[in-house]
Amino acid sequence: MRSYILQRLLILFPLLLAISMVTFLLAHLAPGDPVMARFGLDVKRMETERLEQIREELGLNDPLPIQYLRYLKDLLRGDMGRSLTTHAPVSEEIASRFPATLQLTVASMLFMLIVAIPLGVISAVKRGTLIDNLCMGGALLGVSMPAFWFGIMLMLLFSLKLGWLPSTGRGDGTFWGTVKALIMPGITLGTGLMGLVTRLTRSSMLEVLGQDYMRTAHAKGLAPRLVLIRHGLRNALIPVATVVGAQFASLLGGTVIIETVFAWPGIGRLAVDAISRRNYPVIMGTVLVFSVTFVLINLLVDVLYTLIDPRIRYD
Amino acid sequence: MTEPTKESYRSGRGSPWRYAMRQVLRNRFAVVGLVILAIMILVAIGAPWITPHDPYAMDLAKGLQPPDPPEHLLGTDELGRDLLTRLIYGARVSLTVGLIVVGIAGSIGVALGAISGYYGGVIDQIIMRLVDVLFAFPFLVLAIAVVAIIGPSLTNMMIVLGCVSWIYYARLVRGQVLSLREEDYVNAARVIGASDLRIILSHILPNCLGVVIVQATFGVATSILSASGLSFLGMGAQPPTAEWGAMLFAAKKNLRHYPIMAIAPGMAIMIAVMSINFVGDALRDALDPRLRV
Repeated sequence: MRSYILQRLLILFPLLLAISMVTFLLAHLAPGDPVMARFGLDVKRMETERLEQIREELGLNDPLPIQYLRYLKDLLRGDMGRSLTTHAPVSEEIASRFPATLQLTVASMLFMLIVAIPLGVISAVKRGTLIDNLCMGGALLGVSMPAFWFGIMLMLLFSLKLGWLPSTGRGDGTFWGTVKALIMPGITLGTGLMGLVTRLTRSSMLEVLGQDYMRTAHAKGLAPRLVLIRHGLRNALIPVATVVGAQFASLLGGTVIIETVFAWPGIGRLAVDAISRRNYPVIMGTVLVFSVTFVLINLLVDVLYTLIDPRIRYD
Repeated sequence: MTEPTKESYRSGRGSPWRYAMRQVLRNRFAVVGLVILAIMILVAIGAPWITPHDPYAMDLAKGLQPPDPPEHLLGTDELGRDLLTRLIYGARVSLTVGLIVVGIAGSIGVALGAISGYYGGVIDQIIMRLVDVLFAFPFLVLAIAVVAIIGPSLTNMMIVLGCVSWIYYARLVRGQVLSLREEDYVNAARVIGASDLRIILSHILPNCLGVVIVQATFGVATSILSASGLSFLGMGAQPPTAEWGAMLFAAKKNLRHYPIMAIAPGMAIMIAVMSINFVGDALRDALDPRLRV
């Protein structure tokens, strides 16, 4: 177990290095002159010698590997450059947006689990009935819809027609205000995953229901509900946890679109705004932060598995 | 259900492919999916004969009209273009995007996966570390950033989506090849002096085809979804192209008063993707029982 974690941590470093290399290369491939980006239209009025001097000072004439090492050095100090539009440090902009994205992702996960797992269990128990078919139909819809479109439809119904929920923003700061603001973006972000987890819970539950220990539990006269939850669900959830964990990080990617739909002030929206304004330092910063978070969550999840199911060994 | 016997294989009546096909056709949902897809494809191909309108002809005086049968069944968009016509022409773009992205991703992924699994060693290490790095990025974030940098357009979006999603095929095929290359018939081919290329192409890859087909089918569905998302952000099809995701992007401005503009393209995407998923589910059950969910 400890050696497994150590091994994963050792792989982490080259991986993070590779991520930084990819973002660096992306930034390098971006069209436009970095000097222009920094000084704006003043560049046109500058003399060639002065321009060359600035390029030299900024290190733009150095070979690519040297430039990369400098970028890496800055990164390690938490310096990701400055935003071309606000001139604030990119790291600060991202740090101020990060909590909103985290809040949305966690809320989405909770909504998803609250809906998907009971639906999956009901489907399995009522296998072949109308309820089962309805749940499975709903799950299939979930994986087949563009999530952002589902979000727009929810917005149409609950904000524009009924006026129950706010269509955009993070709420008024009160607890209920925040919950209300989270409902639609949270559900929308988790739509696809909801479908997947419902289907998975059902098939996993069906497998468990046929096990001998379930029959034993029933035979010794335990209450059916107790058997279902304590003997059935607990075992059925192991494979579900694997998938949920692996997919948790992928919710992050979805925030890029969902935050745009609901004007949610997180890093997904920051990235999209940066893209539409060709604000390269911010684009690179957000890509980097997304990827590093993604990798770290995946690592954490893998380690947690060993705690959920002691049968899992990564030797 | 009767399992195919050795005799039925040998007689040719029940080749594994035919057996799989029969199983797919026995699945009601798959048949429904296939029928819907066939209709969509026919409508997309026959678009000019089906609708009297031009998807690009603007008529500002007739902008944002509510549904008005029989002239404009779904009404018009903000530039006075018939919504249903654009939806029909949009099927051409969206379905093609799905196929092209999978075509790109599948070719790169199968080729690299096969090379990686067959040769092993340093080549395998290099390819698989590359796969690991690409897996370290959230799919959509990477795709959006790259498209933003090389310039948003339909073509660039397809290329980027293909180049980002080949990793799934590579991992899948590599795993298959790793076990297949130890098979007796592969050794036999090697002994009689078949070249590596020949062994890969005619002895190993045909046996991976099942899982690749299943993955590719679901790949078309997810590519259509991803492409619609990118177009919705303005990273894919550019105006005036009639594409479902781009139509949703345009519909956002008039959501309150003309919701039909947003409802219709989303429904079209959903129906297309769901039909493909129906077929995919059945194909998976028929071709790759291990993956059954």
